[in-house]
Amino acid sequence: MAATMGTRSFFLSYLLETPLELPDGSRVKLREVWATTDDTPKVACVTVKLAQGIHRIPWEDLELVKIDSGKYTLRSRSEGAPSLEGTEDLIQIRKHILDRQIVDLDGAKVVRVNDVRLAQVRDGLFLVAVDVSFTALLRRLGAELLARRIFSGKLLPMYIPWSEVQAFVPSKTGAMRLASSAERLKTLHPSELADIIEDLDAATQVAILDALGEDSVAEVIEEMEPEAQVSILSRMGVEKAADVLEQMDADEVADIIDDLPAKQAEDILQEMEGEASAEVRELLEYGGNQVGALMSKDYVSMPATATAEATLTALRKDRPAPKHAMAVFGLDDKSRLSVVVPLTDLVMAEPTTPLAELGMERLVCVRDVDPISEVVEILERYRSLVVPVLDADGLLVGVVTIDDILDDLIKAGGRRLRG
Amino acid sequence: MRLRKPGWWATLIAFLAVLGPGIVTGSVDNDAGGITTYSVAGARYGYHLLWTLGPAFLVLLVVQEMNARMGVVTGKGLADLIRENAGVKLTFLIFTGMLFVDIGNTMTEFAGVAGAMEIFGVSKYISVPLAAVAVWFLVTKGTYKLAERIFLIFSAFLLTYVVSAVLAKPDWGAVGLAIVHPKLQTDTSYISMVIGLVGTTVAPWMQFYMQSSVIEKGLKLEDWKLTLADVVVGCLLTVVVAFFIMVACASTLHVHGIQIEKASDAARALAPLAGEAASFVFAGGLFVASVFAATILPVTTSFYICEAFGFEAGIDKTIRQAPQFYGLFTTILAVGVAIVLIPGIPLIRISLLSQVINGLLLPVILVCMMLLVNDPEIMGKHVNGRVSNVVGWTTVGTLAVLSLFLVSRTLLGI
Repeated sequence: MAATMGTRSFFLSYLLETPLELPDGSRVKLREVWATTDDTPKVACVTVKLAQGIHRIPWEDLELVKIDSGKYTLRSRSEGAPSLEGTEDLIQIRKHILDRQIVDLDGAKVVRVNDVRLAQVRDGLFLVAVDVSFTALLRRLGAELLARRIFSGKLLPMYIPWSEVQAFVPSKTGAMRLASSAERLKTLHPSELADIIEDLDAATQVAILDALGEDSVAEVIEEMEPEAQVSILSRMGVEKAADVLEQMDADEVADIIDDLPAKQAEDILQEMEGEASAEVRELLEYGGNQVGALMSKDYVSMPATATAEATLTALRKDRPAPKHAMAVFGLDDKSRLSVVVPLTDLVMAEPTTPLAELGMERLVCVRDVDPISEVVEILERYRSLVVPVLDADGLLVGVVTIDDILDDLIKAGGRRLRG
Repeated sequence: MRLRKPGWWATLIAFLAVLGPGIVTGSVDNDAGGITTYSVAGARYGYHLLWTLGPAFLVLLVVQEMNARMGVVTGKGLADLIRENAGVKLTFLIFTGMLFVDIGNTMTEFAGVAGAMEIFGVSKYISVPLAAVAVWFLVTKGTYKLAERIFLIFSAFLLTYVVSAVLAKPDWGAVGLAIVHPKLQTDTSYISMVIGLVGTTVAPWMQFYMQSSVIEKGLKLEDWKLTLADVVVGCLLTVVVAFFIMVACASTLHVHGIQIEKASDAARALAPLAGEAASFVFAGGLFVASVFAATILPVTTSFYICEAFGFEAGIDKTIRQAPQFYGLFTTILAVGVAIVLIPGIPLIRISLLSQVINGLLLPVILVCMMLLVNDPEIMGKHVNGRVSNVVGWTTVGTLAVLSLFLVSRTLLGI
């Protein structure tokens, strides 16, 4: 058939409306078009409903021919077979792709497939793109020509190449199988992925989160809106939710736990590892406008006598996240904070200099029970990126970074910045 | 464990967070349209139509249980399911219909705002534009979720109808008798009143709203008993409020032979009969219910239309990100308001027309729902059982016949 058809492309909606002529001359409609799960899916067969039941006809047996009226018809060399054997690994383009939600990876958003573009080349028929335009909807409503006349050519298809698409196909077992590997989703930034997941239906959300792995899931959930966090964690179940929350910073976890219903929150805390849940519980003890509620318990501390060299070695070994290593905190022999060394100072220092000689002249810190406005003022006045938090005994209990208050700052004063 | 943000505000939010989708939907259900229908029914037929609340409750319960189940099992909104399973053409038909019906409903809500505020001596040319602008900002400036919760507190105002009813000193013996021994009539105006009563309790947009709320809550099958309890309580709430509105109007207006056309007429007529307090309480309830529904209806309808057709939607998006969503929302609001404010426009005729479309749409959506909830590929082993199916199809069939009857009558009437 390849030889007679040459290279051409057409829409799935056209194909589904094209009559299929069987060897005995009778005409039927296509019910489904099946394709492989390759990176570029190749059409393997179609199914039609005959008097005897559903028949599967291989695509190689079909030929697209032009009839007198200028329309096309599909001519089949065989009646196919009544078995669906061999279709287990195929995707159903009509059922699983058309009208479904997919992720447009390039635009990083969720869209609905209004039509599918197929291309016929020498090797066969391939799924090359999806059309998400309003024009495609009009086309399927049979109103494309009319609309074209009204809008005079302004209505164009909006293609997303299949390589930029993440589709979701349910498997026989009821679980969701990703039509192409979830690796593609991992190319997105966690905040983009969070927005996308919020826009998808619950079953797909679960499928994506399952495919991502705990640490990625934690990153994504951190970026979500509070309502979405609650609904997703509820759906995950206590055990899984606890596993994911363990991957997150205690202050983030405290924020999320605070939004959950009391019983569920308690169940999750019980299920979490002792150390992780203890940290969260500590943070939960603070009032909402106290520094303690905002601070992070992840920070790097060293004896103040340690050299820059030793500190850097320790950092290389521990590999803390960038936001937890903006500064290193030097402690005296009674474990009290004696010096704060910004990371840049540390990197530029002579390797043998002890931390005690590197720090700023004056220690600027806040108490855990101070109001949050205090810490905001300090960050602003001293242009520092991080402020240490001390408890009543003068012991270091946490830090507040610029990151922790950024969202609040933007929400409070930044409306006009965002427009 | 201690709440992190103590104080009454946090306690209140925490309490409202527990409120289930059923109760929320139940509260929104008693909007201006509902209050009008119940008032008119009470004024015209006294206690004789109270029995309809029984079947209305049953229908509401059956339909909402299926919605909740679909939401919990599939995790997909009803608009989503319809688009994916019913094809583009039917989807287009349903949502075009929804759009028209909703413009009609929004109009009714603003008419409710106008009527209620006139009782307090505020002209509709002031109250309606102000309410509309407030609604628009509430939604577009992204404080909708908070607004929804505040409205929920206010919807406790609906229970003030109980106060109104008690102030009206009803003859409780007659009320009981009317429920146990309903006097059925066969004339067409009686029958269309019955249809109107049942129809107003099961509005198309509610099915979408209910299912989305279930998903938003992240409810799972393990919570099913709680979810079901919530649905039952929500349906009860709707019916109880309806009951007291009917009793209030029956024991005052009907007794004195006063006929009304609008809910605000009822509020006005209550003053000389049951005292100014009853009148103000009634008008206040009407105002809150109207603004509540005038906010939720346009937002949700725009959202479902966008969901079905794949446009970006959601109040957390900016106008530039989701132009279709905000465009639809603004259009629905603007047209609804305009109809109320244009002098000499035949309000009653327009609302009849919107009821006709509503009557045609409801059976289509319900049949879609029945087919979806019985599809094992969608629902797995949670498809309807035999009992749910018998009750479900009977309900759908009855509603369809009733709706078509109402539609043909209205069309002949127009």
